[in-house]
Amino acid sequence: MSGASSSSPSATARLVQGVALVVVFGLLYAAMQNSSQLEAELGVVAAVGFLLLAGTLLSELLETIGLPHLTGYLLAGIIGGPYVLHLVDHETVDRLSPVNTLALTLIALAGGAELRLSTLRVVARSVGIASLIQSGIGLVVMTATFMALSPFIPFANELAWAPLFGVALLWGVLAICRSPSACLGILAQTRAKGPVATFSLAFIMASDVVVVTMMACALMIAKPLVTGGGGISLDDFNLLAHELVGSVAFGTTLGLLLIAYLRLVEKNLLLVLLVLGFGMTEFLRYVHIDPLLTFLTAGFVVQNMSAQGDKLLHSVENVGAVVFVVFFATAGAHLDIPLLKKMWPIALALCLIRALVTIVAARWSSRVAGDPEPIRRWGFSSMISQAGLTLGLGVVVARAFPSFGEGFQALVIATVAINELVGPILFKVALDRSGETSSESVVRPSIAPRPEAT
Amino acid sequence: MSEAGGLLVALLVLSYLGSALVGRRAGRVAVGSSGAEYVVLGVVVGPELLGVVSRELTQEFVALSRVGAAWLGLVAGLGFGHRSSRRLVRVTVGGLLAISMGVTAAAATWILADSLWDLEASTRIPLALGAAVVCSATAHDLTRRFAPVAAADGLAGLLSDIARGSTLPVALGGAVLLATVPGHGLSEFTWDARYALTLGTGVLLGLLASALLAREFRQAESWGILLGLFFLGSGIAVRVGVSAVALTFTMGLVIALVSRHGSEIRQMVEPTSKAVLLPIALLAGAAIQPGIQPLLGLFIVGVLLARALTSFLGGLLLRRISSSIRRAGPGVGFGLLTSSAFTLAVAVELNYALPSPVGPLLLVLAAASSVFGELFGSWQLVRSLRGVSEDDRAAPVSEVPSLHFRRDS
Repeated sequence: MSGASSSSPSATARLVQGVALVVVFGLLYAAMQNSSQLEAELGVVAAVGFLLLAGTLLSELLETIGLPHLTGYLLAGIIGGPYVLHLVDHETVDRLSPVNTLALTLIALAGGAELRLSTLRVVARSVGIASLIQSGIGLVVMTATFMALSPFIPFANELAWAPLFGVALLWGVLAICRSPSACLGILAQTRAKGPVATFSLAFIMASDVVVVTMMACALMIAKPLVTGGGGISLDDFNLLAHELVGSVAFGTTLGLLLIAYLRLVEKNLLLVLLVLGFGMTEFLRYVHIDPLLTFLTAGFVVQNMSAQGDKLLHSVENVGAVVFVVFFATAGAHLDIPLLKKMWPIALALCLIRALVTIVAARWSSRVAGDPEPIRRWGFSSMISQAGLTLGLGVVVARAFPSFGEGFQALVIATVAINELVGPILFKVALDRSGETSSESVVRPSIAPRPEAT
Repeated sequence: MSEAGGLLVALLVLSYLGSALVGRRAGRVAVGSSGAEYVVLGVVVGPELLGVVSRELTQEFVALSRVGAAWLGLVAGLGFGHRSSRRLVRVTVGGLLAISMGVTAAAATWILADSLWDLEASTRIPLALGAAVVCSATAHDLTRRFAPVAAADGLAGLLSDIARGSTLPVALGGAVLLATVPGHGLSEFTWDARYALTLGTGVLLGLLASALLAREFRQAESWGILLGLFFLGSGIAVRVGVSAVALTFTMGLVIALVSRHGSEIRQMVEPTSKAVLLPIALLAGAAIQPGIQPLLGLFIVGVLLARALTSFLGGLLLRRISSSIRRAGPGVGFGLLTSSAFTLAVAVELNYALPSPVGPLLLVLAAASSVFGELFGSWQLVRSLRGVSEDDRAAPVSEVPSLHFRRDS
């Protein structure tokens, strides 16, 4: 993702970008009309190129009206995707899942590396109180909201009270899920520095761990309620503990290895990241360790236990500049537009209530924590976005409860679609309005406050 | 982890090793410029010998191989950054030399394919044309070692320019070959229209890249645009059945000649060539089918002898017109037997794009030419260069490998 530039492109440059965008769409369209039936992998190559180019160009063009680059990537995917122009079909979108794996690895590494202990000490109280209040209020209110709106939800309107409560509880947990990728994406583009950026990053990264833990608990409680048999099993707690402890342990080891590599070799980091993204992720899933938490821990260790943190961040940024475009464009192509058309009233209602709850909880937690004015005013802005993590948890629920899983997942997709489009815009506006967006094009500094600023 | 996932990680490790070898020497001998040793490694670990990599597994990486080959085409095209008339003359000489080597290789192929296998004309024609394509170019990677101490007028610089020119017929020949293959997505067009579309699309993408990167050069943004255009172009080319390598070569050539940031883009991209070449070479080696035709060894020897003879005669001719080459001794022509990564890339593409037995035969031929060139041609080239006192023994090793084309000072 391109960062802020020192000089805005001229009108000629924008015109060239516009023409190039049209040419790119036209080329792929022409190729689609004349292509033979070749292996699907080869169609993926053209799709990757298209999404990368269209995403980059559209984001540059939308920059003129103040929209974040993320929105451009998403729109490129939506327009070129299987529901609009059909330039990228469903099968191709599915085949791009390795890109998502790589992107999530980079996001987690960068997220962890951005969390400096000095920063965390400053914002720990704020983040702790915000996590408690957001999670508590969000869970309770959204669970109640789901139950209240259940007559309007197709898969829930005939459920008895107990299973309805179980489903609503799962929905409540999903509602407090945030988007680390969107947060990092906006921060990378705007190169924002300040209390809102610092707080947002720390909160979003911490919320990952909270949500994963809460989802495991919710699944454990919901199972007997929905299926109507058995009690709460402690096996799930054991599994969760194994996953959490194992992730931290693996992540710490990986972080130490990365430190040694960065210190002694320091070359070919792109390939190291690719091996981590493709090879290590598969291995971690095989041993039931959470890759996101592992890489988050690894990035954190590198940053806080060595002087190699900025090197790692710089490398991840360089790779991420390309990978994230494809990641978000693919997410856009994945958005189920017909489903959104069908479910938009209930999805919109849930999104609006979720946003309202988030704002109220944020204002309350800021008052309790004694946060500075920018955080009080804009601290909620990064909490609206939802993306891959939420969708992934939706899949987990769908697999665990086949009886209503399909409908549940559809509703998740619809609400994520809305939050994914609106959230990044809101966060960017917040960073602009709070004056934290940087206009410098220097090598991206960390968003952690410099010692003299605290 | 799945078998394919394991192989992918192994290929990434190989890429890593390739990157680490940039600018280094393996003892006193420069690291192979065509990836020949990795082709051999691929044969060893492939289904014909150790069986570590099965033939089915290589099929899973067809897309990777073809995209990697197209990337090497882009790198080759970006190498054309010169504008001086003297270098143009050298490049032209190189092109003519390549054509002559290609013609003799094609003739030898035609004759041997008829006498050894009694192949029909419809098979012999693409086979002969393909042999011309994969047996024409020479490599200048080795001369890069000598470039730090060699003046532009020195033998190393001269041979480097000649070798660069020899890649043009390879790219154009590959484009023609694939344009004539039946079963296209563009079947309603004639072969010359397909050929024009291939090159025209490459030109269009090159112009787009130049226009989009005309602003201040920012590496992250440049990578996004370059990779996007590359994947789009190569993906479309493979989808409709034309030569992706020729398309990306043309794109690179246009960028090199037109873009104001051509040299920065070249310096950005060149270090990736080794990292891409080695996995491609390994997969190519594993894909080789030595039993595709009987008496294959005899066929290969015959074609390579024809190439060697033309190369030698070409060297004698060059000695008559260039004083630098005259000082190098009569064997300098054999130094032009070295094969380039670009040739291997074209052979990989032809292997997958052309029907059997043509495609696999061309891959075997290219691999054999590459190995032969590394063993014999490299030795002769170094001997010739040392003979004119362009000694690499005290030369610092540059970090930027292969295909680098110096601008005129």
